[in-house]
Amino acid sequence: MEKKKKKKAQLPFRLNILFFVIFLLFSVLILQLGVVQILNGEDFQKEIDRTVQDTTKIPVPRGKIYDKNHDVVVDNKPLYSITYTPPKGVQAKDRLDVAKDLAKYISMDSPEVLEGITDRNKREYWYLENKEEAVGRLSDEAKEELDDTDEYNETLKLITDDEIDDFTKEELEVIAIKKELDKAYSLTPQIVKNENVTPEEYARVAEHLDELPGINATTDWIREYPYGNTFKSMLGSITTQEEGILAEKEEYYLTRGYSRNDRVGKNGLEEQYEEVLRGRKEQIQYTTDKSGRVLDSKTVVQGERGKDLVLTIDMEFQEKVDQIVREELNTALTQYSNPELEDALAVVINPQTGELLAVSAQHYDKKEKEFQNAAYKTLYDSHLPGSTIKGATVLAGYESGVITPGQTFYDRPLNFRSSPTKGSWRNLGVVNDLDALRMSSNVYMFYIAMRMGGKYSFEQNDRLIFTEDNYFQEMRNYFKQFGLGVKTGIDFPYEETGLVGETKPDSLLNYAIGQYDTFTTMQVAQYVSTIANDGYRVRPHFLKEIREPYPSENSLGPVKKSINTEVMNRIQMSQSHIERVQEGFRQAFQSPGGTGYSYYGDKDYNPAGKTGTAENEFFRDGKLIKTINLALVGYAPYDEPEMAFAINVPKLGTQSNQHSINHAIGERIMDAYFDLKEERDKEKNEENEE
Amino acid sequence: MSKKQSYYVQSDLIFLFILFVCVSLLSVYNAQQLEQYDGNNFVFKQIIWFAVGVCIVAAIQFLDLEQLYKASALIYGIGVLVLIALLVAPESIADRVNGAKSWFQFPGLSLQPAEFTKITTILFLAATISRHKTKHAVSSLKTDSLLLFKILLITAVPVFLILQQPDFGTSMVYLFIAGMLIILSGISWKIISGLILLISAIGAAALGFVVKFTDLAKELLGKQAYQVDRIMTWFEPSQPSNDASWHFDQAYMALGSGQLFGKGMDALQVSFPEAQTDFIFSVIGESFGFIGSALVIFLYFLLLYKLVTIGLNIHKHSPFGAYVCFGFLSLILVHAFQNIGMTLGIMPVTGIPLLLISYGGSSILSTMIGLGIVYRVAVEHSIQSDYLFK
Repeated sequence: MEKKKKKKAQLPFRLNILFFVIFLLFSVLILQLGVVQILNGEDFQKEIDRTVQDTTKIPVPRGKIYDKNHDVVVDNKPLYSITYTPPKGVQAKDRLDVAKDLAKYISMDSPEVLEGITDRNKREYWYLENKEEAVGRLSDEAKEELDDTDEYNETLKLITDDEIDDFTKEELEVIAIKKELDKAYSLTPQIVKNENVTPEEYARVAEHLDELPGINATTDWIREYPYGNTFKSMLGSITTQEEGILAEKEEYYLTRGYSRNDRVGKNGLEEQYEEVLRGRKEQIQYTTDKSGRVLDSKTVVQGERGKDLVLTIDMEFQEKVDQIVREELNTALTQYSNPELEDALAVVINPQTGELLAVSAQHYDKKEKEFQNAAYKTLYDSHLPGSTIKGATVLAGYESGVITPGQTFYDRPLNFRSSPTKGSWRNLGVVNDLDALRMSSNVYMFYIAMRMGGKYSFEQNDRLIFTEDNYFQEMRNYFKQFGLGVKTGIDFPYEETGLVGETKPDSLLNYAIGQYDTFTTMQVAQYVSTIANDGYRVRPHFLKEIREPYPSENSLGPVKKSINTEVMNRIQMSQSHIERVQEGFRQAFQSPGGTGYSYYGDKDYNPAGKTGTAENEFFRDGKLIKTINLALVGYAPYDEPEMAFAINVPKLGTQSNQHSINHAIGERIMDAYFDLKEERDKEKNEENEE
Repeated sequence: MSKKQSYYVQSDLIFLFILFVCVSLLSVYNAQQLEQYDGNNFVFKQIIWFAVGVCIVAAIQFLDLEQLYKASALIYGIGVLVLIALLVAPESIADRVNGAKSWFQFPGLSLQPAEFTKITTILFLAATISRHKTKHAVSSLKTDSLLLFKILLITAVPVFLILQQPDFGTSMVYLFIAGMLIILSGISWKIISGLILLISAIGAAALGFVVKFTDLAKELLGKQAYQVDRIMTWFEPSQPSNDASWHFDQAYMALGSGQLFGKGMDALQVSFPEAQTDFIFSVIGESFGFIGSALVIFLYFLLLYKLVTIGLNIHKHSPFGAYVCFGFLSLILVHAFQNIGMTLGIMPVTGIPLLLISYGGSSILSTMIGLGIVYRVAVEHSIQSDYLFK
């Protein structure tokens, strides 16, 4: 009986204990609930209320470039464009979904695009579509050993070639779209397709934007060059979206608010005036809550397209100069024996303002057998200028006091002990300073150089020893006042300053006749401009004006900034000395016996200038190759110069019946300039009469 | 109302049930406002499930407890067969969801058999225990061992099948129910304490092994190696957060932000997945605050109390009925504690619904079936006690 009683009590007893345990468990729940909700609740609420603000920058079109006459040189061609701005925390799978949806509305089947799909793109696609199977293939040991990235890469490797071989065209399009989507940075627009977007595609996407998270239908632009390759190497180019900002200047761009995939000027004027052309991006600030929902968006910075550039270049004239240089180069190549000849360079500048009117270099590519516009060579390549710089030598002579105007020397070959004999192109007899420039006397220049070195008396077979110590530095310093051997200050990202040789007495004599240091055509142009401009050395520039972007597409906005003439320095020499050299230059072109008289003596635009021939010897494969550079500088009209030019054609053959290419180019350039001017004046008058 | 009819009105059970329905519909409605699963009207579907459930409860009242008792073995057998059928079913009607083959999927309807076999297993366990107790009025260590063996065997079959899906969480629920019934079946403390010791020893050894020789353990488990990682994360709470824990953090934050009074209807600020099912308690917490959440916990406490009372009262007349009550009690208890505990961050994260509140046809229907049987037991008690006091 007792036993039975115990049994009876067993269940209620255990139930009581159990129920007590339940009570305890539930108390724990309530307690913890209190901790979470009452103790920490406020912090959680704060966390929820915290919002995040992100700014999206929307690119604006780049500024255009116009020439002097307001003709468009670099234009923006608008393109329909489909962009993708990924929301925060978007996964590969999400992008695939977007790609699949987008594939319904646009086609991505151009051959280049399809060829651009890599094996890896296909594998990633297959992986996403067959994730379980793909992951299952990797052995457990491998999963354990590898980190996530390696594991993913291994898994991709295990996908067989067969599996990624027979995608349908539709699937390939999805892969191609996804590839573009994958490139996007969070909250930064990425172009998915902008070439060949048809208006239909654009409309279809625009209609379905709400189904396509992150996708937008906008207009993009590409650079267009109405003048083709003319002047293109100076205009430069911009990076593609793939290239983005230039890696070597990454910090520079990022601190200035660029996105990594922004297109920037990568060389030429596009690089030089990047700040002006880029414009101001529209900035939209999104306020999102913790879960990424957009609560608010507002435009914090109104966008504005880039400002326009107006250049000093006259494209019509530029085209003519290009043509002249190309034709004469062609003549020299085809009708004369010039095996080393490749380039012909010419710079035309307004000597009073520094405005560059035409900058041309033609390069003959012997392999491709074609002429190329290579205007940049006028800044990048330096050549021996020959006698064209004798104006600077004579002025250095005056200024250093070793000669005075009217000084005469006897021009005949000078024999030196232990250095080669040096002479003029022919024996000129007694010459004064003007004769020396007119007939291009080397010997006159040698005397100036020797005197600057301290050697006033010369006997044939003398040893060439100078008593002055810094004779070479003194001569170079005079030259630098003209821009020879220093930067011209041009508004271009790069310019060469030329080769500087060792300083020996013998070399100074060569330097004095343009046979030693090399100079760029731009430097020589600045030198002749300085002489034409009464000693004022002005900065050469391509930019004439910056114009505000104008709302209307095809007209220029108001002037934002005009580039004024900038005098970099005035040479030390007195006005009368300069005028003496100007007269020498005039006689060279306009007086009988002048080296250019036969070409320019009858020109009614009154040119002045100086010819130059430089011996250009170099070794190739241990063999000495002798060539000459034919150069020419000049300006016109003599009394009120409005154009100055420098021409250099390096590496011509040494034969005596050579094509006078420097004169041919110089004459035609000046003719073209004044013909065009006359034509323009006539047009203007006719317009005024109407 | 005639006397006979009044037996069928168990007003306290009905009252509790109505409260649960209200809580469920309000919180599912709120969860739905997060619009994460667009186009699904969960509230409407939940109403239908409850309505179907009420019909089932009503239908069960026509059954005799004696009939259920006799049929329990058959019902249990059917349940096991369904679980087997699920395992061998083609993927077209039983596709894997999150890697587990736990659902039959028919157009417009998904069923999770393991939910239903909980009830069939409880029924058969209750029948087995009560049959054993009538047969062996006087218990000895020997008879107790036999009963223990029976209980373990009956539980082991569905647990084994469910582990094949694999669904670790649900099989743990079965083990918990079996454990509760072992304690309440009156088996000697000696055996029970022995059993507890044995399990603890094996468990501790296994855990120690895993922690100490993690790599070896993974090798032995082969494809199930991720289970080891799960265990290891208990010991390394500073693991970098992955997706799952991000979701949990969102739900935890939502719950906490409800503070004392909650944000009211239609005012949820945080969205997280499974808000209407496994994480419904977070929705309750955010919407109704500490007061509302505590009331819901209290509601479960009341339900458990009611089940204890019914079981205690009837066990003299119908041990079968009593053990059904205790089994159902265990089921409600483990779900409520695990689910709420998980939401509160004191239990590990498993996909176990909050019975009677979480959205879901299978869990609602199976719970309603259980509730129907318990209701029938309560009715039986009313009849019996009335009869006794006449």
